[in-house]
Amino acid sequence: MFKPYTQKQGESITIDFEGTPIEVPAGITVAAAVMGPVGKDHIRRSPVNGEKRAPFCFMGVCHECLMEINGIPDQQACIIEVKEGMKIKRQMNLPGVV
Amino acid sequence: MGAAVGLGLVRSGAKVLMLDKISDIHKASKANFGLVWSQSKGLGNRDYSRFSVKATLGFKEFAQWIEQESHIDLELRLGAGLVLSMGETEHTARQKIIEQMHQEAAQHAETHPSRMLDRTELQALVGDAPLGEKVSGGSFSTIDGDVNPLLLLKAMRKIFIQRGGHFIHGCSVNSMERKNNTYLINTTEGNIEVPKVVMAAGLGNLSLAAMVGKKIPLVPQKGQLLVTQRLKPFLPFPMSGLRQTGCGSVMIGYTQENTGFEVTTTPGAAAQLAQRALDIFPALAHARVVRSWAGLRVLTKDGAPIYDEIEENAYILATHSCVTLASVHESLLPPWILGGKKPDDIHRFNLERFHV
Repeated sequence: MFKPYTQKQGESITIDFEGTPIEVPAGITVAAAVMGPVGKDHIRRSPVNGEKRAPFCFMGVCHECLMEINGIPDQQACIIEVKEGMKIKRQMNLPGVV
Repeated sequence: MGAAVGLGLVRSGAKVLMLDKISDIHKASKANFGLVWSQSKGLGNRDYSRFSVKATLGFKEFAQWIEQESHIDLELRLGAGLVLSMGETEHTARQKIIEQMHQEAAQHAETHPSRMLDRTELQALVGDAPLGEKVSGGSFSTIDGDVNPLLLLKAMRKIFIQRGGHFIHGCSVNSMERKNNTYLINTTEGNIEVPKVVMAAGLGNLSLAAMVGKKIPLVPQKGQLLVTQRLKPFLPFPMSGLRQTGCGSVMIGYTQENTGFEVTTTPGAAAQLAQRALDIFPALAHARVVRSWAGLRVLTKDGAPIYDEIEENAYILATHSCVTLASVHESLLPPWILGGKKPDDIHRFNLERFHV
């Protein structure tokens, strides 16, 4: 799960974050890629109360890091490795049944 | 059961050691749906119905105390619980059950806190989420509700320890033997000698009771359920195996399967649960199911609890309804276990009734 960056040291790839191409180190997770300035301090909003949320446990347990990856919502960004051309979006809608 | 009674024992001033086995089967306490429920319990068994109502009515005060002492929010919502009927046949059948429960209560000059609702009343109660066409109505209780069962368990254990109880997690009992006036217990963590033993191990009671030569009429019943992604809160109270948790997930339950000691989840059950949920709220079609699990209920032959002394100073406690009954387990059972008179409320919940 926590793969050392040294494995692919030096290599970098380009992902698409909400329409903006971002260059990131190869081998890191989506969560790692969008932390900091890229994710603009949150990667989704809570469907319950609309609060800003960001990755928390980084080990696939807490489900705080859910993002839309290549058109599929609710992907766990912390356990998915970035790939060349991957399209990543924050989840800002509040899913409900009403 | 063990957490509630252990807490009550400590609160009554007893010195208590609680042993908790790590089970490879999902224990009832960790696979629970979280209902605090009285309306469906005790048809044909006035004692059990009355006891469930008493426990439900006492739950609020109990939970307030637990929250105060543990500083854990139990996500308790009381005051509304629904059993939906899908189609006229189910509605008529449900109506009959509720009428019968009212009659049985009336025979003892008591009342049963539930009533039938038609579809229009129901939709008004539910609010904005549109009910499916198949929903005919249902029975409604103004005292039932739900709670986060995992937080309740955690909070009770926390207070148990705060108040001086000793808790060993991951310790199972290998053998138990009565010698003079004590019980010699061999566990995976060493030997202990105690004057009293309380068996409150759910289905584990089968093997514990066997160690003192007793057979207990308990069987497992599997329940599967589905959990959706977190959704904007739309279910203000639990209904018919649908409940939205404090963090927005919708729990969709539940099956009742007599398949022994196994907890596999099956596609057939998932399909059936999902279909029923869609019949109730068609808009759930947009919700993603993120996981499913199965757990085992602890069932007695007649569905009512067992509280009995099976050997001098050895008690057996077992029921399917450990969340609803937590308040009365904590308050009523300890004084009896510590040598007091068996309370009238639970007098008939003995083992003898199965040997008639």
